[in-house]
This record gives sequence, C-alpha cells and structure tokens, in this order.
Amino acid sequence: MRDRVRGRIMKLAALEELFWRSVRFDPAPPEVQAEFVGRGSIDAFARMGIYRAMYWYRLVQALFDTFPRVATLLGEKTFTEVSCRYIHAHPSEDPILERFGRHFAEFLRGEEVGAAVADIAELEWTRLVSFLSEDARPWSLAAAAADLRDAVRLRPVPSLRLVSVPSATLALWDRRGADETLTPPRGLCAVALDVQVLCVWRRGFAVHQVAVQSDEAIALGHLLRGESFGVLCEAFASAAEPEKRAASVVAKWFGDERIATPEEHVN
Amino acid sequence: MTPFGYGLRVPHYAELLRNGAGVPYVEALTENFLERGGRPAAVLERVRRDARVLLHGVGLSIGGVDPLRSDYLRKLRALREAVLPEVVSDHLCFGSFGGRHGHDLWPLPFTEEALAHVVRRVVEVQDQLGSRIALENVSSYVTYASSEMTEWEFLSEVSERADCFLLLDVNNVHVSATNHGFDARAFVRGLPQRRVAQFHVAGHSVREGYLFDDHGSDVPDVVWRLYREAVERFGAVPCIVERDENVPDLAVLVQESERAGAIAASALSAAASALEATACAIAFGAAS
Repeated sequence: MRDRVRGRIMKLAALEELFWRSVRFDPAPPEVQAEFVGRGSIDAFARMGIYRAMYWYRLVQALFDTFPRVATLLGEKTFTEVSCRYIHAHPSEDPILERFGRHFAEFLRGEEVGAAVADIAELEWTRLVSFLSEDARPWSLAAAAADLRDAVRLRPVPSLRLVSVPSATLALWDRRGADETLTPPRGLCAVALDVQVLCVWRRGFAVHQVAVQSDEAIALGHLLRGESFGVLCEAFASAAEPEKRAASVVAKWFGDERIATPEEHVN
Repeated sequence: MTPFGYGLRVPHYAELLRNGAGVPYVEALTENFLERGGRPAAVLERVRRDARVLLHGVGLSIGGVDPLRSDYLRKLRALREAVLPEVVSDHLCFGSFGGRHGHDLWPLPFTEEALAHVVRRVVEVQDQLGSRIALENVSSYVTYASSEMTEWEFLSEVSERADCFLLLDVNNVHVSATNHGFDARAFVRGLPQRRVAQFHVAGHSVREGYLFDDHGSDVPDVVWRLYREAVERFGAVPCIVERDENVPDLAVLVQESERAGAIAASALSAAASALEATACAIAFGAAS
C-alpha cells in the first residue's frame, strides 16, 4: 500500500456527500478540485460532470419510460424541463429505478401543464404498478361457487387497482394512437364534474382497464379493503334487481381473472 | 464445457419465453425481478429450465454511508431462495446518500476507512442473505486524492477480510485503466486467484479524452485479450456478456457469448498443454 502524503483527510461520509452534491448541482462545490483527481485534458470538475450528466439523463429517461403518453402530450422539451424540476423536488428514494415516478402525477398538479396531463400520469403510474405486481392464481367461479356465502372474503389479484379519471381525460387517453401527437386541453378538469372510475388489473402479461359504474366501484372498494362477500353485495342494493346485478358483476370479476384463489386453496 | 452466457434484457423477453436462453448461463438484473410477477417472473422461470442463473444487483450501495436497507435485503433473500443462483453479486461502489438514490455506480476512495466500512457491510449483507456475495469492480471517471491503495489492492483486501467473492468486469478494468493511467494487466494479476467467481465482458465508447462504459457495442478485441489473460489466471468461471444500449438480436448476443466460451476453452487448453510440457520436462529431467 502506498503511503499517504496529504495533510487533511476528508472522511468517507464527507466525501460521499461532496460527490452527491457534485452530481446534483452545477457548478460542483469548489472542494472538488482538492478531493478528486482528473487526468490529461479533463480535470476533476469535468470528470464530475460526466457523473452529473449520467444522473440527470438516467432519471429523465426513467420518467420517459414510465410516462410515454405524458411525454407525447407535453412534447420532449417541456417534458424534460418538467422532469428536471421533479428530480430536484423529489430525488429518488428507492433503489429500484422504476419506482422513481411515484410522485410524478401529484407533482404535475402543481405545474402549469393542465390537470388532464396529471390525470394521464396517474393512470400511467397505476398501470405500471399493476404490471409489476406479484402473480396470483385466478379463482374460477365454478371453483368458488360453493364458498360464496355472506361471510366469505374474496381476495383480489395483487395487480387490481381503482383509479378515478375525468371522462374527458379518458377520451384523451382513448384517442391517442401510437404516432399521434395530442395537445392537452389546458385547465381541463380543474373542477371535474364527470369522473369515471377505472378498474385496472393484469391478466397474464397484459394490463387491462375498464370503466365501472358507481355501484361496482363501491363493491370493488369493499373487495380491496377485504370486506366480506355480504358487505360487498350491499353495494348493489339500489339496483333494480340487486341479486341479479351482484351476481352478474361478480361473475364478470371471476371471468376476467380479477379474483385470486384463496391461500388455503392454492396447494 | 466453459461457462458463458449473457444478461437478460427486456427486448429479448418474448423470444426467451418461446425458446429459452440457448446458453448455459444467464444473468438476471436483481432489481428487475424483486417481488415481480407477470412477464419478468415467467421469463426467469422459463430460462431456469435449461440455464443456470446468476443474480446481479445495482442497488445495494455497499460502500454507502446510509444504513443498509433491510427491506431490500429481505426481498433479495427471498429472490435468492426462489431462484437458487450460482452467484449473487453487486458492485463495489456507493449509489445513494442521505436516503437519496443516484441509480449509478459511484466509485469509492481506496482508504483504510472505506475498506473497514465496506468489510463490515459485506459481512452484514452475507449474514442477512445467508450466502456469500460477489462484488464487481466498477468503471470510473474520477479518482480520490485521499486514496491510499490501488483499486485491486482494495478489492483483494475486501474479499479476504469479508470472505466474499469478486466479479471481475474485464471491460471496466480496461475503461478505468485507460481513464486513470494504470496497467490493466497489473490489475488482473493483483487479484487473489481463488476469489474471482465470475467475469463480465462488454463494449464501451471512446469519448473526447476518456472511455465511457455504455455497454453499447460489441466486445472489442482489447477486452477479449484481457479476458483471455483473466481466464488463464482465474480459470473457467462463468462469463457474462453485458449489453444495455443498442441491444442486438438475441442470436447476436448468443454468438458473442459463445465467443467468450471459445476463448476460455482455448486459453485453458493452452494452459493445460503448457502444464503437460512442463511436467514432461520435469519427468525427463528427473530420468536423465
């Protein structure tokens, strides 16, 4: 090992903090010159700039990957600018890069991009979370029929989510083609009068989303909270034929693989 | 057979699901498979039918001063127990500070303080995982004025004191050697033989005044030559070809992986012949 011939030694924690500040902020702190070593034509500041460029590039790219529809709506330049502000406001808190966008929809509500863009971001995030969820073996209605008593608690598949989206935003989502560039209506849904509840879940490798009526949305809420089958069916009490409506909706959940096989039936 | 393979990447998932890996080894990026269902889980299950799996992480931040994340380690242990990988690896670097993650592999100062810190954390990680890990040398663009030893001395000390393995990334050695002006062969020769459990090879790009480790091109000859020397020194441990940018068709990646296998076979065969010749010379010398 080589002998050290410097005077002051900066401790590991201080060095890591200096590195972190140099990556996040431009220009880097002046201590970089003393603590880091460059070579050839590239001095320590320029070398820290390589890490800084990678930091920003990687995080902006992660947001592009997670929110492609938002990126299309805003255009590359605006999306990048908004992303940089987001990175400053919400540095990543998770070692898994895909989770970096968890606050993005909420952040967009404070930006001047239009509420519809934030709604789209929320839907994109919900779909990503659903896509990455753990597997569960679906339960068939035939297998479950004997167990469907009031006290039984159905288990949703882990990917199942509910998200509320204004109908006008949903139309924007549905209109968007692969190469289509859309302009988000500014201020849309600032006061959302017509909100649509979507049920999002993954079936096999594909994420699905369907708009649900208010009674089904309430029932799905009960399902997600682990309420009993009896409580869940109460959501349909105001239907013309409550039992028929409940049976029809619940049968659809089973058919769409939204209900997981109970733990005690898995093995 | 010499062990070789490639890193699993999303553009190949559909083909992997249909046909499997087509190589003896595959490396799964840990963070892409933690607590995952759906397609990633199905891909891993499919390739495990006919290939051995290595787990390779980027989020451990073993050199960081932030506390180790117990939630991350718990999930990693669960994944390890489900997949039964031959090697579990991450990088000898830090990637977070103050609870904020950079999603990058930042170099450490090679000091006694950093060494003691990393060794403590490797021991803790190995205890929590219930298995030894391998640490990879990272490519770097800057060094610390406070470093007290070479990178290979630091790696060697970590592996000996913490009783862990090393993942020798041959491309990273070449990139860092060029960027900092040290001898890449001295790096390879400086590591303890019995500690290297895996190799990586990859391509890099030439930038104005430095090499950039982008895994965006074929493995260049200079890296293959250094890899051959590494095989001669450390033997036939699994070699993974990494590709993250300009990801080619799977068939191209398989071909490049097979080249790693062929080079290793040739290096080991030459070494065996040399050994045989030496043995003969000794035998004849003894007889005469």
